[in-house]
Amino acid sequence: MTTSPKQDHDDALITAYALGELSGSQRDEIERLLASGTPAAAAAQREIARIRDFSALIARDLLAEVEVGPLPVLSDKQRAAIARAARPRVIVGWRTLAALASAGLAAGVLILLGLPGDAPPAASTASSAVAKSAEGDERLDAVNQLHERQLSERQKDLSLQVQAASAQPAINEALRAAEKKTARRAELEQATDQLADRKRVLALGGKPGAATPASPAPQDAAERSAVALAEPAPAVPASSSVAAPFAQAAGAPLARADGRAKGALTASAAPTVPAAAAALPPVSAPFAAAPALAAAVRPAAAAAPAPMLSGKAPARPVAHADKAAAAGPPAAAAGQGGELKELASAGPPTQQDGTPVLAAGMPVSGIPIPHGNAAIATLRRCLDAGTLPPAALVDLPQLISAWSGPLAGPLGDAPAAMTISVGDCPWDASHQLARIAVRTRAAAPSAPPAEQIVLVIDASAAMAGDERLPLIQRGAEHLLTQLRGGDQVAVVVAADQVRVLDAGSGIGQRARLRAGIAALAAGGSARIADGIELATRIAHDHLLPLGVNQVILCSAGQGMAGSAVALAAQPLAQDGISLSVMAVGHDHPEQGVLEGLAAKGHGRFAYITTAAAAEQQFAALLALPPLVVVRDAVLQLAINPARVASYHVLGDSSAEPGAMVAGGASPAGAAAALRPDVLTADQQLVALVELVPVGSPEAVAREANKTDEPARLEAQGVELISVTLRGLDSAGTPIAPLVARFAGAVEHGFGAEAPSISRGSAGHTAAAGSASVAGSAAVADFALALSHPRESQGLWPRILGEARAASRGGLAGGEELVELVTRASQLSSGAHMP
Amino acid sequence: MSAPADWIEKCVERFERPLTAYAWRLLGDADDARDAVQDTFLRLCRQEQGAIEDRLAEWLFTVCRNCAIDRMRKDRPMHSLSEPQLAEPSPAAPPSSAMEQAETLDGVLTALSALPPNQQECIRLKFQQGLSYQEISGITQLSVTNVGYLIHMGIKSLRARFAPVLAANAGSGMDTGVPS
Repeated sequence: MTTSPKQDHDDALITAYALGELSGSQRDEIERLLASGTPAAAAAQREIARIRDFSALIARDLLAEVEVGPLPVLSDKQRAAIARAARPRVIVGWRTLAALASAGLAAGVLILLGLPGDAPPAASTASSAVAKSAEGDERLDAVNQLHERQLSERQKDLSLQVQAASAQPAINEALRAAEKKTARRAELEQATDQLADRKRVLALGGKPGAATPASPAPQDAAERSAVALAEPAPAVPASSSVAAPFAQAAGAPLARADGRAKGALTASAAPTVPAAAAALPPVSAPFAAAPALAAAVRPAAAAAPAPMLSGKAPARPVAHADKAAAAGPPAAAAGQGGELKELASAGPPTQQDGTPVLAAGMPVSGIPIPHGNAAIATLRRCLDAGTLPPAALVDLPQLISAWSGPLAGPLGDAPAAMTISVGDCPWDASHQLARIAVRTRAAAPSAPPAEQIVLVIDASAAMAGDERLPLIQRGAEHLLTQLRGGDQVAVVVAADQVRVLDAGSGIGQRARLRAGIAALAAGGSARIADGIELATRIAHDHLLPLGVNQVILCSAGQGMAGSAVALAAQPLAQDGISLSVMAVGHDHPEQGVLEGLAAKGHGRFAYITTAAAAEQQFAALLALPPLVVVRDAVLQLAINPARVASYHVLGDSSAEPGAMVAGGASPAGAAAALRPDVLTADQQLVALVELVPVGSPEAVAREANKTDEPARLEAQGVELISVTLRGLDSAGTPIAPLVARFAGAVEHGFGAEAPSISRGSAGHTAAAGSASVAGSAAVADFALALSHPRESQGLWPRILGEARAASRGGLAGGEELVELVTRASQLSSGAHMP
Repeated sequence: MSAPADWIEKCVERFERPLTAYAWRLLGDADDARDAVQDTFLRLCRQEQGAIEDRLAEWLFTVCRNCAIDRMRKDRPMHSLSEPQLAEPSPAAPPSSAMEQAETLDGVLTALSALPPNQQECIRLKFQQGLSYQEISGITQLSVTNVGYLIHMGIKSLRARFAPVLAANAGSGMDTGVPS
């Protein structure tokens, strides 16, 4: 007897109820039915009783199978192996190894560093670390754990205090206490890391402290912002070359008399970098400054951004400052009172973009590497549909990169070219924006290699709808028409069943495949992981050693467990098979999962919304095979604390509290952005970093709020920031670190009004500075407004002005930007607020 | 930090047989099943006890499933997952004695083996391992709704298959349990 889907659905609810699996409204509904006293209620009761009886029968026999049935059991060897693995181990941690390895070098290194004869805190720390190592790892681990627990408890307390916004002094006190508690631990980490780094330098034949001198960066005097070009660094650990310009600033805290010397936070960040990056030169701190403070500040600031950092809400200082200024007293109030009021009004949205980082505490950060076009496709699609995009899908780095225009590629064999420009920050005259642009080298022109393509088409019920499966069918069919002789293709269909489309053999295969794809209908569950697994096996079995081997997942992503799919896709990389993702669907909660999948699979990600885009994106899979230029790429940003008080990598989503990376929790924020990623050929990305220069009113106010003696870093070293690209080439060999430095002076100093900036006003004119910085700033301002629509209601005129100015200034795609900003501003003022 | 040894030992003691049964059904090979279970416990050793203790069964079965899939991928010739992986018993071969079949272990197991693999898996996880729909969803990567549907359809098929048995029971005064 056949039943309708509706009846099956209702019956499944009855079964779930009988098995105690229903809750909430569904359970209430069934119970209302059962209590209704109708014939249907009586029938349902009988059915429930039968299901329970029959279930008991099944359970009895299945349990008997496990309890008494013949089953294979683990062998003695297997049990022994498990027991060995479970045995407590003496873990020789990386810090300990580094400390032990460096023990004999400590004194010499310190002398080479030119430190004073009386043992500075870090030097004594080094000895202490070595001594502790000799005493045993357990003890050091125990101390670390204790400190972590204490810090965690302190941070929880601090968050509560901040939420209550009850007392600035209490916050400061709590932070200082946390800082002191962690200072010792940070010292240990910093000292051991530094020594390990120096030892690596020595092992490579370099001289500790003999860092590569900074090359003067070319500057365009006509431009307000200077531009620094990347230069390949010598193939020595980049930590030394990056450290060079600020070596003296780095040494400053070591000699401080207040006993508050702080270790490098990056020392704690280092172990959080996944294992693949472990082979890279360590991400060390070029400025041995105040990490413990930052460690204490970052998580706390995520809950309450303002007090330690500025007089404004930090995550988007400007937006909130502007809004507050328009509202009146809170922003107008200067100093501590103003901070508290702003703190109280600063809501969760300010946390979404991360928080400024004290440069002295965390002079090294990471720059996120965006992939794909999903953010801009989502933006267009939502605006077309008459709504603002969900904040979670506004990917600021991706949007900035999308409007980056053509960037110059590298010369010679360098994997990438990097430039740094610094200009005005349109939303805060006292801040600066550093624009970091990266362009990877082009794929070498050659005869197109043979292709092996395995399409995995999600044909589940989630793919129903004109904007889903039909688009994939259109794109896939177009792809088939583009294949050449010698290419191979297979199509895996993932729904309730996972199967391979059978096209038979001989002439007409392609047509039969196209017909098979066209005949697909959406329905059933999404067994994406199984589909990937099958595609993986096919791809392995038919691998073209000299060809391009790709698995392409076409899915709406709904109901997909990313971990399972990622696991299924894991073996692909072993044979150099890329995994690309063609995503469809309006509401796309799994977009991040799909993007991540493509990134990990060294493939492309595209979000398809139209038939034309489907054909274009599928064809692009053939035209531009994703060639990996740098694996495990890390873009490390180094800030000179002598010139920058605090900074904020815009759109660094990893700055969210609780951000995790492989290996455990990291200090939430910038350190997490150091997670390695991949750079493919012809990829370009642009990142913006908001800088609060030393001497700015904000930085001065922060210093003034401190009750203890503030750190006084001497203004040494000319560079403002530098960016280092590290990673592995396609053969797995570490590339020579590529370093770009910005040493240009920014003309508009602090204490002077920037004439072209009018904070919070409508009709703002374009910020002075290079067109590139202004253009990226306009996009960033737009993205921030989309991310925080409620807080940005009054800012649209300004953002529109920025977009128009950027367009007039030659921003590639500027006209579209103006159009999108116009539509978003209209929606924002209407009733379409999500 | 890894899990303490005594806890691992208890986990092995408690979950060895359920996991082996599960892996055996997935892989159809005793040695592969043992290896998958061993891999599962070895991975358990690297976990923090506190991080997974409250969802231990789900974690173990998920990892075991992944290990089994890894083994299938490595060791087996390619074949479509839609192909029946277990021999389907002939529907024309009714049990010689309905009552006997209902009382024997093989009765349910044989009938169960005729179901599609995804229904088998969900039913086993539900009734053999006592896992909730939610936990099964986590293990199989199916939605909770799908899990519910598969279990319902599996029970429905089994009840239809056991109709003669249950009808005989009805003749003896028992409820038939046959879907109306």
